[in-house]
Amino acid sequence: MRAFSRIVLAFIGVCVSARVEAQRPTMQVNAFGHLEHATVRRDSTDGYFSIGEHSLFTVATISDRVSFLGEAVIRPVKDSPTGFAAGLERALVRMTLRGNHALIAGKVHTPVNYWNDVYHHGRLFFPVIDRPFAFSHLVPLHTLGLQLQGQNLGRLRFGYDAMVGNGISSTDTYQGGVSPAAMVAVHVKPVDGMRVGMSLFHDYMSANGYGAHSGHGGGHQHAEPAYKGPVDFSLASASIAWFGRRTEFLHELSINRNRTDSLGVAMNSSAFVYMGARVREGMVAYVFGDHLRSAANDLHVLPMQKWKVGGGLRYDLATTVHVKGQVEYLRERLSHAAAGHTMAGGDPFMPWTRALGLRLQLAYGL
Amino acid sequence: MSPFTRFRGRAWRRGLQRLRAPLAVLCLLSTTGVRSAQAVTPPYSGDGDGWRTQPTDLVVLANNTGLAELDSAGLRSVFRGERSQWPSERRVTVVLPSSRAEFAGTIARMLFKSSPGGMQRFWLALVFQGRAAPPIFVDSVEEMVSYVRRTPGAIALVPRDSVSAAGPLLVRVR
Repeated sequence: MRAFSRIVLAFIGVCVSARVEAQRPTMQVNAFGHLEHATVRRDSTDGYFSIGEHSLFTVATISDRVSFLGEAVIRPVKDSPTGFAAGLERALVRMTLRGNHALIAGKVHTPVNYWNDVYHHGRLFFPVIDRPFAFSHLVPLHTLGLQLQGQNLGRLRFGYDAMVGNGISSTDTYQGGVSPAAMVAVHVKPVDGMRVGMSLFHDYMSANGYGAHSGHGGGHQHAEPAYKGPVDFSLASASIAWFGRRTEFLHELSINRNRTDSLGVAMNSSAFVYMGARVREGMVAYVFGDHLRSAANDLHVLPMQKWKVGGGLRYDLATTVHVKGQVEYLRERLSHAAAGHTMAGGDPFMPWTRALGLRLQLAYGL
Repeated sequence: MSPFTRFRGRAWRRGLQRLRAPLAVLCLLSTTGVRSAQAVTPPYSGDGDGWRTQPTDLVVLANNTGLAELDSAGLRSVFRGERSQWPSERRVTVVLPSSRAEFAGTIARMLFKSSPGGMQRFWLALVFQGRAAPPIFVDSVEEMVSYVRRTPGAIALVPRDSVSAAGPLLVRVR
């Protein structure tokens, strides 16, 4: 009887220790940031240094099924008294349902396309210096809500993301109306280094506005849009990404449809193409082109046309430090509304402007 | 068939007949060359297809995965963060050599076709996306074995001669 109780106690001990071992939380902290120097010739020539976004990134595995991811970013902001503003970019709890299927709750980078899903704040991973135009004007960068995710399923490594949450005009604590933003995205990874995907995003804004989940710059940043009525926002995106040992290619395409009560349907589009070639170990030469066009009757994105072409060199100084040198040519035509001007009648657009830039960026992480 | 085609066909046949012997010697030499190259391949020098030589040079250690064996494609997908849960319902924890470990270059080439730095950057990007749990980087084989031994769901690839007493942690690779 005594032997039996010893065996039982030993068994209970093993079970308890295994449980404790399995549920021991682990945490990893990473940080990313970048510095830049730009020489830009517009009406005059300006040369200046700038400090970029700095991101503190935490991943914690709480148990076999549950993990947490948080990301706080400090970025330079012109209107802030300190010159900087801090923001909670991501905060999510992920629960593995079965195999490679998971339920995610929290604030995420809306996985509408390759760039927003894979890079977002990670300048260290950017193939070029800047985000494409679409990220300032079309793409809903964040969503706060619930997400169902599956990845690496089957031979083609199929993946899906479906989510509902607070949309473009909402804040991280409130959204007017009862209609949430909804998104569905699918992708496949037929070979290592390749990902092909597409997505649909829809958000009915009861009142036009730019909230916590819209772009980090450009049109989405206007705090008080002139038009306050409802906007029916739809976005279709497609991405093809190839990052091989010798060559790299990325194509992002977005088509946006905004319907308003006063000016009807406005169609906007953007396209970004990047091509790179590894000239030697740790060095990639690249070219890119970026285009955005929003319609003259658009009351959310606001009318504008932008073109940018450029080329550069990316060089790895260390595993998690690289420097990029880039020459770029920008040609843009903003509307008075997009530039924040008021006007009464006449041509809604301002004249075309051009800029030639030489930029150097040091991106780092740990 | 035109006289020209007939002539060309005959010329081809004649040419091939003349080349038959040298071609046979060349094939024999190349086959022998491949065999001897495989025989002298130093341990852990997998590169591209060198992955197929893995079971003879490296062994897989895993703790409480619910799997007795894995195929090489499945193993590669585990180490590339494409699997998040084992059949035992344990979370997959990948244990990799840091760039200071002796055989980090070998494993980076085999699994990622890259350098140890490239392997580290690959994982940093994957974790940053929020699509995989971070791997554990350790400096030595002893640390890898020790980590796998005490962590259910952990998996590592280590040199065969360094794990004489691994016993039940060994996973057979098809």
